[in-house]
Amino acid sequence: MRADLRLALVGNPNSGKSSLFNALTGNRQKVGNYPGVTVERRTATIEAPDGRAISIVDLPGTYSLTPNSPDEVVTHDALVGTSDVEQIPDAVICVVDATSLRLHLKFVLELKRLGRPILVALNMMDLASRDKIELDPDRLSEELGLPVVTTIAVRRSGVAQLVNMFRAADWSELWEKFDTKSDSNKPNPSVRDLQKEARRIAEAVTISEGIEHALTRRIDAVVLNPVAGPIVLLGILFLMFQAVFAWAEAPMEWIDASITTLQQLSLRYIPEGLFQSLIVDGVLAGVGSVIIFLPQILILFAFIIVLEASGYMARAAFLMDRIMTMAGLNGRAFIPLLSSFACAIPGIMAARTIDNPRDRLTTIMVAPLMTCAARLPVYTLIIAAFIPNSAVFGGVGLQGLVMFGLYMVGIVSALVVAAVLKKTLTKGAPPRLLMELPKYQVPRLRDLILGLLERARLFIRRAGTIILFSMIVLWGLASFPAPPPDATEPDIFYSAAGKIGRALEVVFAPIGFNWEISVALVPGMAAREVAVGALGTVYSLSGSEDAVASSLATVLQSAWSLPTALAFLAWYIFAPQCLSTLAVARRETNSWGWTAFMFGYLFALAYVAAGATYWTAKALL
Amino acid sequence: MTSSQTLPLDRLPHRVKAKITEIGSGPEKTAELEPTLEDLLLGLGFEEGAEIEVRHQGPLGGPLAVNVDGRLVALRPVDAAAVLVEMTTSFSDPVLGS
Repeated sequence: MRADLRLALVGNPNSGKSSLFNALTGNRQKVGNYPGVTVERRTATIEAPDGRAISIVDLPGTYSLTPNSPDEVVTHDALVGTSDVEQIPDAVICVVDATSLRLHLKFVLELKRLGRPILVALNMMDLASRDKIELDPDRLSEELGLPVVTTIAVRRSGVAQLVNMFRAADWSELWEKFDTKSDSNKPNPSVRDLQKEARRIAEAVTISEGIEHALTRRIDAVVLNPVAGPIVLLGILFLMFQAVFAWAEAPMEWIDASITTLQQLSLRYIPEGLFQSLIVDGVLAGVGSVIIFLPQILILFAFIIVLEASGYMARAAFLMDRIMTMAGLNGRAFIPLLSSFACAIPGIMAARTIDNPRDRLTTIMVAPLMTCAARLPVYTLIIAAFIPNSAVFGGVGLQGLVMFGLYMVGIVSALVVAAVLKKTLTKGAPPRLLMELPKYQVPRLRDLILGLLERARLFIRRAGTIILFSMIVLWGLASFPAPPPDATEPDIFYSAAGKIGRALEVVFAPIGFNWEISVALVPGMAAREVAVGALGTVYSLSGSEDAVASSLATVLQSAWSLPTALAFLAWYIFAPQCLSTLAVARRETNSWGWTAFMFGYLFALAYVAAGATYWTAKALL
Repeated sequence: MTSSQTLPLDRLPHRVKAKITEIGSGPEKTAELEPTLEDLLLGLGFEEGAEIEVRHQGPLGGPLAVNVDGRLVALRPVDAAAVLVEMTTSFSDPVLGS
């Protein structure tokens, strides 16, 4: 779409730029206050009150115009006009954090040198007044020679005023008042000159200095304490995983019951035959066994969103830095890795904030070892079926403990693999850690709900597209060709899926996998959680009528030995990731070699771990 | 009480107010797109004359959390050594400062 006015949104990380973009465009993205949460290119076209089309691009947050990291290169190139992607914007909206004026003004002064129209959005006015900081926006406008709008992006305050300025008449009137061409002819000032000027302006427009956020200090006294801090962090992570089990139990039972009801209704009202089988065994059994994990995935995401929005995430990186350094990574890799608990894809993309290329590559390579939410369905199913729901060590659930253990094995392996990589393939000097620890904020319920809705939508869309498609294909493979009249084995044994499974069984039998598992692993490559759906399809087709009605967990209890179940869990700690993760890894590393390496080493680890688990368990039990 | 003693930031006692007197350039650049330590420090608000105070240190000799003109920044001791500071008071309230 052709735009009448092209705007670029720029600012320091943590200035609330993403929130302002959300407020302006209504396009929901994750709002966090970890430095550098905006790494993707985000654009939107909105309409000004007079009908003009305004295109807005949200450029990556940057502290200066010196292109020092891949993020800053994007922003720099877009602003000076050397970008292949972005056209030079007609004007720049520079978002400035009112609570940290001096530092942000330095960037505004640097931008001014480009000689382009700049609109200053003085953001986070609510936090400023919370900290008793009083500013004079008119004086700021006068000192800078630029228009200034005050905003509270998270509450959408000041946004209407900003949008009104985009009207053709107001826009031309605005730039008659402010002439921004003059600065570009002056010689380049040094960083220190800019800082001096920024300090002078900040002092001139500050009516009252404010007090330091006392609550942030009190919380940090505990949370950043070298002894209490790690205990709090471990406690939060442990609570997170217990919650995923305990809180999700009831909604999961409702979903399970609804699916069973739907299956019974289909059996009653759809005439017996191929179509009934497709609906009951393919669609409902397959998609149903994936949808059931929606509550757990949402609880996990709720924790991650709240930790990020509150400002705790950067503290976690601070606390983990020493341990991460031992693995040759830095604390900053902690955020991409923690995001990978939700999904490796945002994790791998968040690695863009790591400025050291070798370090970034290492982080991308180990990100899939963090247990993503899509593996939860697999873990939950096997744990529910094979691990007794008893309490150990005074009230701690054994099931939750096993889950915690699986996550821990993933984390430890990631650190070990990273350490090995840093000593061999991605050798280099240890990277730096320099980052802001933002002030604490109470996460906004609205942002949390929007974030969760987006996750739920994505998950359900996946269930409705990739997963549904895989399920139907798998059902087809599992149903045809039909078994011979004198069949002695279950029907699926004679089908195409059965043949593929038995062919793969040659590879997987040594690690304790039967042909049913081998069949399920194939569609599991499309999306990990599909493996559960696939097992549902395989077993409801290979078992009796009763198998359809009873839950998959009960079926597996009788079909698998404990060593096989444990080997399956071990396999999934390392399991080669889904196709979408490989696609993102290929894009982010820009290398087929590294993508192949990632797939290869994960497959090898999964195979060895599953084999070792199977044979150890067999020897002991 | 004022002292004119200058020392590197990593040796500044915790919870003692100081002023930055000099920002060194740190080690040489190792890669094209890598910013120098000086660039990074200046970007995060370290500058000559800024008020600074070490607040916390991560476990096992981890990074320092320092307050620079009201903003909390994390950096490793090895990098903090490039920042020279001068103590302005010899003590401060352990919880809320002065």
